[in-house]
Amino acid sequence: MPRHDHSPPGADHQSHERLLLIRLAADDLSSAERPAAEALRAGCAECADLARDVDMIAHATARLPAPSRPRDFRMSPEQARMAHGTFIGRILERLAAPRLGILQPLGAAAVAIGFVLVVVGLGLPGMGGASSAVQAPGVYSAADPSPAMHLTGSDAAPAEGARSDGGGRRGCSRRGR
Amino acid sequence: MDDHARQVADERRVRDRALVAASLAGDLDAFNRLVELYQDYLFALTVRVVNDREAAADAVQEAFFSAYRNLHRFHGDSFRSWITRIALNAATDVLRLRKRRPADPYPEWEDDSWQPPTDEAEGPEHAAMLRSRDRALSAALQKITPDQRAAILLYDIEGYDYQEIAQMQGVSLGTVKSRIHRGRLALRDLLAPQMDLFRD
Repeated sequence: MPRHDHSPPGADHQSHERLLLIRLAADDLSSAERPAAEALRAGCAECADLARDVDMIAHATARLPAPSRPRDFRMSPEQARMAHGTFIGRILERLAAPRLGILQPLGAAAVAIGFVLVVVGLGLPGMGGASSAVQAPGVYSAADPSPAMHLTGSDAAPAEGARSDGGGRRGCSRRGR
Repeated sequence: MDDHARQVADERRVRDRALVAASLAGDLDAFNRLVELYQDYLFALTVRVVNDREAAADAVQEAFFSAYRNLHRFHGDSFRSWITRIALNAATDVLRLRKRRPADPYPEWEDDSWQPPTDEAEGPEHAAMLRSRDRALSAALQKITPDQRAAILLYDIEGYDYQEIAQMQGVSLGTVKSRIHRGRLALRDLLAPQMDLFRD
């Protein structure tokens, strides 16, 4: 329930609900709220100034000159073709735009570093690469799962309990909201 | 909305739907006719929201680009509202990503040879006063929140009603009203020392 501090006219202006006057000027008050707002406007000079000023500002806003457009936004056939291209294609074409020129060396460097990392990853033993002759200790394949995947029934129980707790927390959270 | 305004809006909708249909059939000229019809309006709105001409131009270009790509998804009543919503989303993205210092959306005001259009009969003093008022108001608009600013611009300048703005901004009617009312109060607080400029 929103708080409405409808102070009587003549009281300190700072305590008057100014939004009420704004809504009065916008004709956005219920019939129950309107008398209090009109009393404020009639009995407090600063409230009357506020209502009048807001109206003048809105009037001036409506008459602001339109800023001039710097360029034509019509689409060229090339842009139209690009718009219907693939998602990756659109990204690549945009990155090729002159205004993003500063990013192009960075992109090339990132690609080069990525390529080097792939080559190193494939070539060095013990790093999980395809040419690793011996599987490194601590690395488990899907065919030979880690000990953590051989839980006994008793080992598994706490995990299920944890899920159960989690569900309980969600329940509390919903109640909290 | 009076009868004449309603009739104009209806005619605009019919025209726009025909242009959308032609665009979907592959007629790029038809889409570019839509661009011609709305680019001034969209740029004026967007530059006031993001307060940066280059960023606003990028947002408008992106909006038309996105509209062209997604034209088949337009099933709404008003292309103008649809493209406005897309442009506001693009402007919001620009505001999130922007690192550059905001620039004056009215570079004309830095050019002494440029004067805003005024009634010749009102004289140079009145024209200077209007110019000062518009600058003060534009600066104050940049100090309220982007959501409040967009809602006020759509309401006061573009003449949309609360419900249309709610659809464009993707929020409830109450949120739009709150943004407009609180934005107006913030503007008045910012402009309180300069209210003499607003008393014609």
